[in-house]
Amino acid sequence: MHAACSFVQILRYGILSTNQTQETVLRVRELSKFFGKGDARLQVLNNVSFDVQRGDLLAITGKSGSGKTTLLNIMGSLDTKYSGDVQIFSSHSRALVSLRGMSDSALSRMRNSSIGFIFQHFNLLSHLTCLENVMMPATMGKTRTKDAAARALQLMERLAIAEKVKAFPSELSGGQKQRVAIARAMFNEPSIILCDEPTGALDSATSMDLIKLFHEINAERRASFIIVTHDTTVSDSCKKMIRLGDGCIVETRGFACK
Amino acid sequence: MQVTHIVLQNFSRNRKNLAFASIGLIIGIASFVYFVALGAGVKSVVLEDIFVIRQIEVVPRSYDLAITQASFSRIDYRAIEKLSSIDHVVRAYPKMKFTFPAWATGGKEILGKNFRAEVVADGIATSLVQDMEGHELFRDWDAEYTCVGEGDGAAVSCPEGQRCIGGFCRKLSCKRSANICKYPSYCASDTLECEMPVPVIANPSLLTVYNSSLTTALKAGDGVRLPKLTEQAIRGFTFDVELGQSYLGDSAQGKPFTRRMQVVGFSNKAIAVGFTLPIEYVKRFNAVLTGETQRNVYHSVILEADSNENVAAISQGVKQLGYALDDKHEMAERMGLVISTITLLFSMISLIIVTISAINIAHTFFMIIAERRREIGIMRALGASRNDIRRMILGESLILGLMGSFLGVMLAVLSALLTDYVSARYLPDFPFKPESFFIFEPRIFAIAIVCGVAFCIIGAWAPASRAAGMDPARAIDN
Repeated sequence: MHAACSFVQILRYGILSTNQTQETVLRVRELSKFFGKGDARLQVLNNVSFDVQRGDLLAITGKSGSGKTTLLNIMGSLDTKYSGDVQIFSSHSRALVSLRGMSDSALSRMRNSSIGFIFQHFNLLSHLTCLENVMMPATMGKTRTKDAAARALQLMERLAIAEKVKAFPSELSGGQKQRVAIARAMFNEPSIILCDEPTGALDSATSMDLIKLFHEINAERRASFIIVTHDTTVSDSCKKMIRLGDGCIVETRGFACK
Repeated sequence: MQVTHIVLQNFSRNRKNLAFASIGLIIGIASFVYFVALGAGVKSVVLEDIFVIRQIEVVPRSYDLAITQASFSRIDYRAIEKLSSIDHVVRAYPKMKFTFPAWATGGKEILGKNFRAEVVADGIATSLVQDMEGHELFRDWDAEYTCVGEGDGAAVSCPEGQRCIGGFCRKLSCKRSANICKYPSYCASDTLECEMPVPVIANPSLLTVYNSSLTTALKAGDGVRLPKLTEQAIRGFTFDVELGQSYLGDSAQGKPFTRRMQVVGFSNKAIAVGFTLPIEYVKRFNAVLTGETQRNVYHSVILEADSNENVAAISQGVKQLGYALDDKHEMAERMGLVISTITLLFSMISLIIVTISAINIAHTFFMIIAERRREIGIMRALGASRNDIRRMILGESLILGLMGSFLGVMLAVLSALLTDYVSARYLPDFPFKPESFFIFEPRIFAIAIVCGVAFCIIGAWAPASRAAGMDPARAIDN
């Protein structure tokens, strides 16, 4: 681990010095994370630092247990016990805001307005219709139901699932479920969309469609996608890539060196 | 978070689990409302029909001297003034008993046979029974009435058997052989004047006891049972009373004489066993048959409180003035206490049921939360805060509490209706059997619903806190 991490120190400088004219939507600084206590203490992230710019399509790859999902959870403010700093572009204050020290309510507001999640197993609520699932961020926030329904319909039309408005998740194919999940993630136009193995539960044809869709949305809306994946087809298609090994950044692509 | 919307959705899809969890709550609340209403109903019968708790009867304080009792206070007009001035006393009504023996003869018209019995009687102010049906007949016919014109009886505003002479009503002289007295007046054998029957009232409890017990115990003759009587049947019934003489002996002074008496109404202000007359008659009879000194000595005085809550304070005031309370009042207090204690005991049992149901509700919510673990994680990822999750679970418990309590109250009311129906249809009549054993006060409903909701929320608090404290990342990975 030590040798890999010293390699990261060299890389880190380059990663942090990407094109300064672009707008940064996520900043990770010296992020470390441990699980367990005493002898059982295990470091899963070691001094990880990088920036994500608006419109980036970043893949985070690595072997199982390399810390990909932990990193995603911390960036998504679902995990708050770490050292270092994570800053996210807040849709409210129009600036980077540190997640450190934020109250639970403030973090929840941040997740609702500035972060979108797409999961491997879709994580749709089975008792709700597709429309209601897409509207969930509005339900969790304070958006009026009428406005929310119109916005959800618009997104579903864009993602070609408008005919599934009244269907329940159990009536959809894997690809359709993931489209509903994408619509839900895009609902509040977040600064970043965090995807955890989005193609993990899909066949290769559907995965290709989904990758294409990510690229389209990325181009249309300049939404920043951070995709945790094992799938090399997905990571190869992304403009930027970070590979984690034993909690450290061991390889990057697309980050300009100074 | 739009909590209401989500709470309603969640409640709807978990309705089977929650319905099962609420059974204990429904039974607990139902039994609480049922027993409290039953206690209030029974207490009302005991304290308002059997013992009139709002009216306190004050008697002279007496001391037990082993073989007899001696009174060291007396009730005269000064005592009545003092007792009237106690706080919260609305009115004071003196009562005077017969101080001589008397017996009554009559009853053939309604019982089929004449009976002769000792008479126990007292006198009260006519104003005490102004709310009684037929109260206008409960008056002192021997008082001096003014009149206008010439003529007899009602035509000149005089009682029957009296003539208007010089602006005042005067009794007509009569002979028993040639009765000129117009009904209902009659020719009295001692005065040979037309006398109006002495109006008397009886206590409704006397009729209740007669109908439920005496009709089966006594027989009218030839093995024929005595008929059951109503107030309507007895009203207007007349009987003769020999004053100053009975099985027990003769009066201290004066010659015994007979007066006709007529039942004019029923009131719970009348003596429990016996008859009650306008007090002026009793004063005159006592003066003639016992002595003039007895005219202004009362045996007791009834103090009417402004409300039931102030009865205890008045009782205290009475004791401070050196007077005692009638045994009946103390018995009423004891009965009230016994009923309250029993009601409290059953209410406590009901609350224990509700407490157990709260544990069941907690268990159900823990189960529901375990099932919804991933869902809670997703909600947290989509922007729900810990407080939102807690409010969501507590909101569901609030609805459960409201619905469970409402159903519990409905069950209690239906059970009460069923009990009253069974009582009316299958239970034999007994003294003071009420139409309903229950009094449902709105505040009891409110207390039941507040209790039900509170216990539900208490039950759901720990599961709600656990749900709120869930690690969202782990919950999603679940």
